[in-house]
Amino acid sequence: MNCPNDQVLSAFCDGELPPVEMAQVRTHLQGCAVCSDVVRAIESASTMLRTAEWSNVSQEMLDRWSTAKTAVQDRSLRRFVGSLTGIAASVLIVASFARQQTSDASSPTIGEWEQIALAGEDEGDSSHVAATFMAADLSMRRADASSREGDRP
Amino acid sequence: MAEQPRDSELLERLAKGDESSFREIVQRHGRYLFTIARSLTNTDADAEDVVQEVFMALLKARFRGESSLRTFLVSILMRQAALVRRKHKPWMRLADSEEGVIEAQQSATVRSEEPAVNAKIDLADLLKQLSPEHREVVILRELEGLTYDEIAKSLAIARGTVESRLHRAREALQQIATRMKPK
Repeated sequence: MNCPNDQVLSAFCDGELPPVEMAQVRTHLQGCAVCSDVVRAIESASTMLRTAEWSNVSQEMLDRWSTAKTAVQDRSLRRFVGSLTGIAASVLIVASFARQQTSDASSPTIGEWEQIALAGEDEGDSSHVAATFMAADLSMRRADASSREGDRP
Repeated sequence: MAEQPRDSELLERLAKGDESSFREIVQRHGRYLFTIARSLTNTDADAEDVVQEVFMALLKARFRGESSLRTFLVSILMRQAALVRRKHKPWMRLADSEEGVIEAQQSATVRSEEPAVNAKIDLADLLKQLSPEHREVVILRELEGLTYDEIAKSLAIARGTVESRLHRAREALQQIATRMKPK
């Protein structure tokens, strides 16, 4: 076997070659000082990493990280309260809108014809007067509605 | 001496609401995570924040035991560190660039001139001398012991890319080791 390239030797060190190739490289290494040196260098780089010192951490820092749980709980609670507030606000808006709609429908302003009709009761022929104004009022409302239709884009 | 509970036991206790188990996980893995975070961010403050985010994520994430807890935490950390790097892009450009690596190498060379007895190598400083891509594969392979396929999946890169990056990272590490050898 010719000398394998360094990438293959690197994969060999990690045991990541197919079994046949692993065996071939192992045999090759027994008779090749150059490749054996490469493998040793790879292994010593691994050792350097595994034996390097970890950075120091103060107890205060560890304590701060330990309170992460409380922070998460606080955050979740805040989010929950925020959602509740949002829902409550939406319900309030919808309710007040619905109330406005209902009050518009149930208590319309007293039409002019109604007022005259009521006033006419005292004067005698009230039904005729009321009917006249009712017709006038209805035609005005129709005209309003059709002009609103016309304003729409 | 009482035997230390395993990570899986601590997680079970944590799921049942045991506060002390979380503290124990932090004590056990905090220092290592901070070291890795220092190697992936520019300032210690950023590293501290990243580790904080990792522990917060542990509380929200569902650990399924497919790897060791430490490896799971490291993979969260890598994503968090990448977010921080993206957030501080102008800052990080130096650390991620050739000049940043050279700067880290120079600072490590100064350290190596100290007497051999004091010449302890700091893992974060060592990793900082590698490019970000090389750092990631080295951490996952050399420190976490992941297979090439697992690294490829974790970093969303091809297995061949893992092989070549790891090979180049090792070449760089060998050069660093040569430079750091006490004369």
